[in-house]
Amino acid sequence: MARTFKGGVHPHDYKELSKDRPIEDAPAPDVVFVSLRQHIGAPSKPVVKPGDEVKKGQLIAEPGGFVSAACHSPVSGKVKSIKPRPHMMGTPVDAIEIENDGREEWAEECNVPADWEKLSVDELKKKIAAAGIVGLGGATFPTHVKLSPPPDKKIDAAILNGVECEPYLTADHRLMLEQPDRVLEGFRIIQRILGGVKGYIGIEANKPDAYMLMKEKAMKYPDIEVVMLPVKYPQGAEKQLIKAILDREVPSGGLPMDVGCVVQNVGTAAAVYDACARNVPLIERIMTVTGDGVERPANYRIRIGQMLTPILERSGLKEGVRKLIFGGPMMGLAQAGPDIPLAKGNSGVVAMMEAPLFEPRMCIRCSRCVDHCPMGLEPSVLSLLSEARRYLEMAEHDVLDCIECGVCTYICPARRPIVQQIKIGKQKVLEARKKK
Amino acid sequence: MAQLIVSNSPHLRTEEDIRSIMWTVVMMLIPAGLMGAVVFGWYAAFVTALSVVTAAATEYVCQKVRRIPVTLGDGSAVLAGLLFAYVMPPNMPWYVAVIGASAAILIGKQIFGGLGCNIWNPALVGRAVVGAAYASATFLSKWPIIRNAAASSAGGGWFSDRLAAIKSSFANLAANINVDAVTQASPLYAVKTAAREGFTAHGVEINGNLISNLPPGTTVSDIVHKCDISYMNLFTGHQVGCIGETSAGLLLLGGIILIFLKIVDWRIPFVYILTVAALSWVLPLGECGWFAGDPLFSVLSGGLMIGAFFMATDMVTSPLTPKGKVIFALGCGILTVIIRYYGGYPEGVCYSILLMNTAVPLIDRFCRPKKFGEVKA
Amino acid sequence: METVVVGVVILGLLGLLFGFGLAMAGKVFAVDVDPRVEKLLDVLPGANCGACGNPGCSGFAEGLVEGRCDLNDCPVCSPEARKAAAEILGVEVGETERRIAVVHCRRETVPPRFEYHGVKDCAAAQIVYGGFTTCRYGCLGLGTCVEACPFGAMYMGEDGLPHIIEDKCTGCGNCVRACPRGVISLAPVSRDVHVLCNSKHPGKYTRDCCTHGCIGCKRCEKTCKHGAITVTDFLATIDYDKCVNCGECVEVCPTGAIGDVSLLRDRKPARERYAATAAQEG
Repeated sequence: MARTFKGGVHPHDYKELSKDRPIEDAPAPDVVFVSLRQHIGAPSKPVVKPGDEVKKGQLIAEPGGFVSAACHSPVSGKVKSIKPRPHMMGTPVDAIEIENDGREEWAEECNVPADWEKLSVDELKKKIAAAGIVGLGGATFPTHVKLSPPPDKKIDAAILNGVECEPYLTADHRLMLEQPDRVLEGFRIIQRILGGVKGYIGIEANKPDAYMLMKEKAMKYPDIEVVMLPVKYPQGAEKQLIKAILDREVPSGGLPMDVGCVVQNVGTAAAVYDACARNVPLIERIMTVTGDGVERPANYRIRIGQMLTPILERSGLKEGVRKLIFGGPMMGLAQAGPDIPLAKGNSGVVAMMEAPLFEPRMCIRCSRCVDHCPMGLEPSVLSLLSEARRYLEMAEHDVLDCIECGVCTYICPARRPIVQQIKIGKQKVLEARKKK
Repeated sequence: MAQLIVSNSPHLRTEEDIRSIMWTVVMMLIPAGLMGAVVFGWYAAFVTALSVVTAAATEYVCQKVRRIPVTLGDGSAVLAGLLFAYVMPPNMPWYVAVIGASAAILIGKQIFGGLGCNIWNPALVGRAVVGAAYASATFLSKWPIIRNAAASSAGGGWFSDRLAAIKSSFANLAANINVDAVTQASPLYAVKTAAREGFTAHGVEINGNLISNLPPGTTVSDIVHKCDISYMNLFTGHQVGCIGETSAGLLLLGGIILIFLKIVDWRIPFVYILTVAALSWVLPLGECGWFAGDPLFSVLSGGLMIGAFFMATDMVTSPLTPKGKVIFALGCGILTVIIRYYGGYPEGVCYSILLMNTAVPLIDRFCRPKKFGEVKA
Repeated sequence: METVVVGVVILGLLGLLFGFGLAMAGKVFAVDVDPRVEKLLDVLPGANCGACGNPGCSGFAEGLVEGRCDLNDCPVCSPEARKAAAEILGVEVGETERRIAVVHCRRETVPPRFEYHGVKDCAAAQIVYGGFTTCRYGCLGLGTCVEACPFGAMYMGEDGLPHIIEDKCTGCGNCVRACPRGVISLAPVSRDVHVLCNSKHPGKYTRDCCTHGCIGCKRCEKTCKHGAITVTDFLATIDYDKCVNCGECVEVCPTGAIGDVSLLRDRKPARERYAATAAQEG
């Protein structure tokens, strides 16, 4: 029987637009804006000030707390300002502006090969923390925190997430095809840090070429199993992926480490490799630019902090685009304009020519959402409660377990904005909890 | 660049919407209705159309009065009107169609706030209103004889007979409405009466056959046979009954297509029909003993097929979870057989579904889905 | 005839039986309630608005009797009712002035940042890209506060802003809590001069998105003789304890961000009234 999870949907994936486009370098930026809020947790604290000369890879902001991450300069040049700049969440956030001098000079400790196999686990963890690596699948949780489970949690499996279940996105797919060794080595470092645990690489069946390649490359490592998973959204969600591969259910309100495993994205693994074996911090990533709103969908290697506009121009942004989405269309954030600096979590940009206005109707209790909810919730009930502003009752219907994957809203024939209604409910429930 | 649109995720939607669901169900019902028109004649088609138009008009007026957007295009009113007509006898007077269809929309749906808010299946509410208002009217107890039924048994080909039926119905509309003189018992009524009274010496006359002195141990199947009821006729639609209920076969086909299209959940019709089959075999009917029932007859006759595939599966008035749906269908099945066997009505599909509709909030409450990562207690 | 008699007798006996049962249950399961709670419920507003933090007026009455609530927790109470309640409880309460809601926004005058598609609710709109208005502090105009008002004291005006019906507003604060941007606050009913802006944006940004936003120029702060105005984060705030309704600040405000709402409340302009009283006092 195929390994999978309960619920989920299978929207058309539109990956054909960009899956055969090799990764290319995005145009080098004249100026970058490195946001101090590119991860979950406390914002980073800048360690440079306007006027400072910085080198490529140099630390420019240190973690602002335990759950936080460092930031590095993606170019060599001069710090111009630290000011609020547009941010993908909609409200401006402080960002470090650096003017690119075009010399691409690396900081001296950077870009020197290292033999990671000789380093201790603690040294590896330190390198990852110092490199400012966060989950590159989109959740942007600081990786070194995820790789440091408390001692009472016994970890026995690591999962590499090559599922890329969001429609349109092909960044992870291209990365696995073009740089399998980087990904695989990075994953071996992760396995090593977690205590030499068994590793699984999950890849959806719509990427057979990546599956075959990874399987071939992983042949020489007996403790890595490459798993082909049926195509289903949201297979790439941590909890669903663990269920699919290991048949373990992360308890409600718990974390993957509660069932003894850690999930990392393939992009994160590649970044881990860079940090441990090349001494290169996280200053670039792979990003897909796609959708019917661009002439030439492509996969770019972008610098963290570079502006989106020139990249969209290079891809031929069409006149009359109606929607610009950071991330995939199921969970991504729609933007008000393209003048946004890119961040560590940007796995793709989808430009859409059409975005019809949906007039929500009354719930007809068709139970599509209940049948497809991967978390086993009753989205229709939550939606009705939210509509009636009975937010606190939503807690009794486990609103906090919702992963906001968007399946219910996608499938709803009454076109109800269920995810948004659930988000308000979550917010109100959390506010009420905080008061108590 | 023009102003962009920003909305919450997800930014994709499936193709399916309320409109496509409702119209697909309507499409799947049309063959059975055509069969009704073929079997019962032109007037049946007329009252069906009248019901649909009345239902749509009522919806329009209600929404205009309430000053909310008119949603006739979604087909839900048309569906309710159609279903209402399908569970009514073909000889119902035109004003009954008007009253019933408007009651279906008004009392069955709009009074609760429109599509999605109703507790009961609108079509069945319309049926129940008519049943209560015209309880003693002849059209509910006397069924028009199927035209040329005698000729069909005499041969000459089934299809040409039907064609002749349509022709004659056009020629003599009045006879169609005025059917007091020529009536026939419905199969369910015939078998129920025969099973109750056929064991006595004086017996009972069913459609011209005197059934009396049945030996002890007679099964329901024997009675069905004695009443001249053929399973094939029940399946194809050559039976006395409501407009849309005649052809179990066409309803089954439409229902299976709906299941295949994932518009209805297979659990409800499957469990419903299975429960009815099992219970009608086990429970004693009239003087027939235990385990003497006729499941095939029970399943093919009356309104079970339309009820199981098109009424009980109405999304608004059925439970949310698979478990709830099974319980719901089980309840419908049990109630249907109990009403059919021991109640005052020959058919129990309408009331059993209405009763179970009432229980849906309770079922939903106790049949929550299994949450992902629920801590096993 | 016989059936009628049998029916009547059976129903009558059943009625008696159930009645007896209920009476017994009432005695056996009776809960002792402080008689004062009942009395308090008669004088409390009975609106169950929740402003006091209890689920409703009965909860508040119990809280008062148990001593965990204070009479002043109820903003809705009329002074007479408060007095009556104080008598029942045997406590003293001080006089407080009635407060009503004030909307601190005159709505931005530039088009929104983007076309918003989604739930027609301010809290919902706020979570989508931080709200669609260019001013991140101003009213979103989707009427969540109006929905939240339990007294029907608010309505959405043609200007796209919520308006408060002075007579009906009880100052329960439900609208204040409902607004995701804190545009609404409570102010004493006698004060007519308010800062009709909530923008903490730098002056230039405010000017770009609104012709009557507070740009933090501090002219009002310098003008006010009573020290009632302070400007923090580019936004003026009025201390209503010090404000005397003189209306000087309204005159000097270059953008009209400080407004006199007297006319809306069917009174003469605050400035005229102040001048009149000042003249009387000599």
